[in-house]
Amino acid sequence: MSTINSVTNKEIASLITKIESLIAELKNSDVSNDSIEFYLLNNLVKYRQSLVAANSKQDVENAASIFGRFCTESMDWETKDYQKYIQLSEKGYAITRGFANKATHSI
Amino acid sequence: MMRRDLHGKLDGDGIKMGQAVETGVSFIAPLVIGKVMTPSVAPQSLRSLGVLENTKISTAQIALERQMAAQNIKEARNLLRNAGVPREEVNKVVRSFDLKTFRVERVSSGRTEFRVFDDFSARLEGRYVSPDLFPSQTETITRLALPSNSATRFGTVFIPEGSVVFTGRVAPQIRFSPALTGGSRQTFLTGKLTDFKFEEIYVNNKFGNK
Repeated sequence: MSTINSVTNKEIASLITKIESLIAELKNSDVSNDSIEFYLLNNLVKYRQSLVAANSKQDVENAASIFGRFCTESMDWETKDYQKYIQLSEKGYAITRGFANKATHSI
Repeated sequence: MMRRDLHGKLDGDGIKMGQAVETGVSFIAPLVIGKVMTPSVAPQSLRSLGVLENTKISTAQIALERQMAAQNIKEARNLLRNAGVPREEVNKVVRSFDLKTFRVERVSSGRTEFRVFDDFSARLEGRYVSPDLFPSQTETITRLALPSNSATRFGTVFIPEGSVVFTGRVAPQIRFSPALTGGSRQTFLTGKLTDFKFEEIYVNNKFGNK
């Protein structure tokens, strides 16, 4: 299993920072129960928590996948919001592609 | 035991298909179990009984279904990509279905399906819906393979005529949990969410709890 190295750690930290800024942005707005912003905020918090706890490529991939699933199933795709938030999921996938593969390095 | 053969004659010293199986045609056996054959009917003669033709048809049917699924998947990928959905998400939507059951459907008459959601992660207005409802929360989560949905609330969604949806069986999502076995029917709504009418429904004592 691919583990997190220092390079990917920095990338994950950068993604977490970006998520935190979006969480703060949403918290500053008026978020009512059952609104899209309410669920978006919860999913961002969950995505952040999953990335903080991630120990492997699979953990990061699953976190990105769950957040991406929420965006794709609950937002209209042509909106700016969708394009803005789905990038966070895309970034998560991009990080997993950069994970060091131990088998390759041992050749 | 006296039985009648395929021509209606009483079976005297006939052999059963079990003996034919031993001669190396075991794949045929399930299709003709219970029929009694005279010794003169060799396994290769089964073609004349229509058994092998049936086998051929089912193989052709499988190939046709696969081809049809592949065409539908290609169409769905193009539809999602043209709508601005990133490649990873496109793959994820397609792989949320059992691929051989995947179909793109243009809804010919409006229908109502169900949406499960919760108070935290999954919203009522969502694209994954199902014509099936399950008696327990656990079964709902496992059969619909929901990785991040507590399925504590229910809603109906009216899918109007002319909508383009993806249908098929839910694929297992075991990378999230071995319990997410899927298997239920699933519909994925495309287009604007405002095109569909979502409404929460309240079910008393839905999980047997008061």
